[in-house]
Amino acid sequence: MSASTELEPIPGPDRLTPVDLTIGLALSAVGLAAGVGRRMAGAVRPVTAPLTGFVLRPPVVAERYQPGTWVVLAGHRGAARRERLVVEVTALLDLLVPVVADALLRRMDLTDVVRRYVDLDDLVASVDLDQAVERVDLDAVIGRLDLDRIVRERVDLDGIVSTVDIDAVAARIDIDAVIGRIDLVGLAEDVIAEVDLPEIIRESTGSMASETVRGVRMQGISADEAVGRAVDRFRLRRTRTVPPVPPEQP
Amino acid sequence: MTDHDLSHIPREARAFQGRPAGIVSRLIANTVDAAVVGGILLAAYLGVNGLLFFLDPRSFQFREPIPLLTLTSAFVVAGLYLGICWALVARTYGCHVMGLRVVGRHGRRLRVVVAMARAAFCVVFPIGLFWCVINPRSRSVQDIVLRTSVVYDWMPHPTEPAAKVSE
Repeated sequence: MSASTELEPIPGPDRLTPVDLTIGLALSAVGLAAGVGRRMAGAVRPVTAPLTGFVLRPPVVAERYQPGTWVVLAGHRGAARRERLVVEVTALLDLLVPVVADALLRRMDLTDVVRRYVDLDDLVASVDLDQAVERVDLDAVIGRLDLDRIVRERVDLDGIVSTVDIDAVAARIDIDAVIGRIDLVGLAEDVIAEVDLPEIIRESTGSMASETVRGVRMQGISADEAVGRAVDRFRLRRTRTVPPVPPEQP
Repeated sequence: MTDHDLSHIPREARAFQGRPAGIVSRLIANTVDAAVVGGILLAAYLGVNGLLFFLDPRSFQFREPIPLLTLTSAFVVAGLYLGICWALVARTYGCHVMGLRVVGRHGRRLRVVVAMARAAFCVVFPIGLFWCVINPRSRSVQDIVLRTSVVYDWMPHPTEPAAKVSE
């Protein structure tokens, strides 16, 4: 009743209902009867106690035929029967409770029930989250995450790098130690091998010489052409001076 | 000769590639070859004298060149030099300097026999070169007889049979 009083306060006297009045009167009557009964029992106990002992354990009757013995045996049988009943009822409840609970849960909006009747903030505040987190295997959680993708898509690396003082970082680098770990001779040989420096030197030297050769060749071609033109002019002049051959007379 | 090959040649010279060479270029080439032959003879003369000095240094004296032997040696050396060069690379050093190439029919390199015959002909009758002045196709007497040609070809490596020869 106290829980009901907290959840739904009883309205004032002006809102009194017949049901509440009936229940209140019945309880008062039961309480009154119980009190009267207790007082009457206390009053007649001095008289009834010897009488009850005489009835249950008559002195001239063998113990096995005394009513008290029968009562004790009946009690034992009742206890055994009660234990069997407990077992049977428990088995029956094991069968019924899941079915009933499933039917109930399917017909109830548990989320709404929890939202209405449970103070989640208070519940969560009572949980020791630190202890709960300590029991979580964070390595396994991180192992299931694609951190590369997360960083690439959600982290502004350019912005972060722009805040880094590269000059300060570079100032702390031991350049001599870095250079000391590099095979400069091997590196230079590789570069020269890739660039093919001897071929470049050969080409540059050859290009200087080829300029001279090219000039000589072009001069030769020009002279050849000049000689050819002069010979052609001479040939044309000779052709003009040669008199036409008269047709042969038959 | 493809456009790619021609890309190595100056634009003003590309039109002449494969055309018969004139008298001036051939004379200069022959002059260079003559200098080469003279150098070979000089080297041989010095070599012989060096060998003699090595054998008998005390009584060593430079040997006077014998004219007949020198002339014969010059003919032989010139003939071998020209013939071997034409047969192997289709050009002598003089031809290389002047960008010329000696080719046979269809622009191919000369066979050994033809190359040696042309070399001998050139050594014995060098004045036959001047026939190329009046020949419409710039061919010397040796070219006409042996069906060879001397063409402009500035490419360093043989491009046969792409070299076009007007025979």
